[in-house]
Amino acid sequence: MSRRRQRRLNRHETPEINITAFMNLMVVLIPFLLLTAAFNQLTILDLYLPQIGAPAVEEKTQLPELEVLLRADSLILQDRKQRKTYLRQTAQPELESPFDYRQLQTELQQIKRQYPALSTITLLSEPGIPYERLIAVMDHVRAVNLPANGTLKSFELFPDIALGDAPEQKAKP
Amino acid sequence: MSRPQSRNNRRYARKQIKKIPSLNLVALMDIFTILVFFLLVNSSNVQPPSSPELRLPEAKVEKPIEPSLMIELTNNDIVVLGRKVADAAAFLAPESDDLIPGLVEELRYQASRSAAQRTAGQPLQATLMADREIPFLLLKKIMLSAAEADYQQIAFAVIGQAQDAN
Repeated sequence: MSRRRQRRLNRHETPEINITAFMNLMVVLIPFLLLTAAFNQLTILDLYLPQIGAPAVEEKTQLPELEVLLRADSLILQDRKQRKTYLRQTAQPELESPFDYRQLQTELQQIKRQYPALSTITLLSEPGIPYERLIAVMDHVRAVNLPANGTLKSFELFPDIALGDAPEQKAKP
Repeated sequence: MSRPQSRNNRRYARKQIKKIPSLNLVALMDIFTILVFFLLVNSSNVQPPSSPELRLPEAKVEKPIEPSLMIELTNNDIVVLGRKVADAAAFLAPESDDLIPGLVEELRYQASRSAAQRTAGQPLQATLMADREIPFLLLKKIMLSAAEADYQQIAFAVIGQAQDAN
């Protein structure tokens, strides 16, 4: 075999692929997908709305009716039925988050351990509370992340959250 | 006589080949293929709020957003499906009405439009995208207006955060 022939054979081994069509497709597809890409993942927080006309909760049940009272200057976790206050926090405006949500979660975990069947909670808020703080409280009441086997695992606390108006604060004597 | 000529020809042919350099496009194709798959996975069919004034709050929820009726709420406007239906500022006063007439009207219209597609008994769903500064007062009015227009299920859109110990 002559050297010339060999060279020609080598050249034939890597044939040129016509990728013009592929490039055209990519040039169109990539900007389109870039526009629809969700770089910050949007998620939703469901709201629990009691069905209108549904029978009222039986009074016989032993489960407490949990309430989180959210005021401009305080956060109160209480049981309406037994008139028992589990936790009372005053706002610390100098901190990044005005309330200690971790303490709230520890308290809620104890209640959950006591009443595993309970999943509803009512969040009563004053009119001036910003949406962000409302969401933060809802997020911490909904579930807790605990380390399990070296990784964080989400444990359900009280995912059925209803919203309502906070009662008027009693005037101090 | 013929040999120098053929050598010239050959040299000429080799020059021609060198003039069209073959680009190695394999790496480019690899990148494009990976990029397309990455973007396909990350793409969502729900448009994020377009207004820069609307900053969604953050929460550690993992439930992905579903396409439903979007109500966008900034400090100035109440927007349903890209169309402004009411002025938010007017309803920030404590003594203003509980229902927002423009919003109720628009939601009723949207409900009647989607009535043909949904099966009976299925509650209407709406997703609320509200700015993080919105006071609860206005939020309550939005929810009351939505309930008035038969939108029973309302979800709050938030930005999903990475899980951490907190």
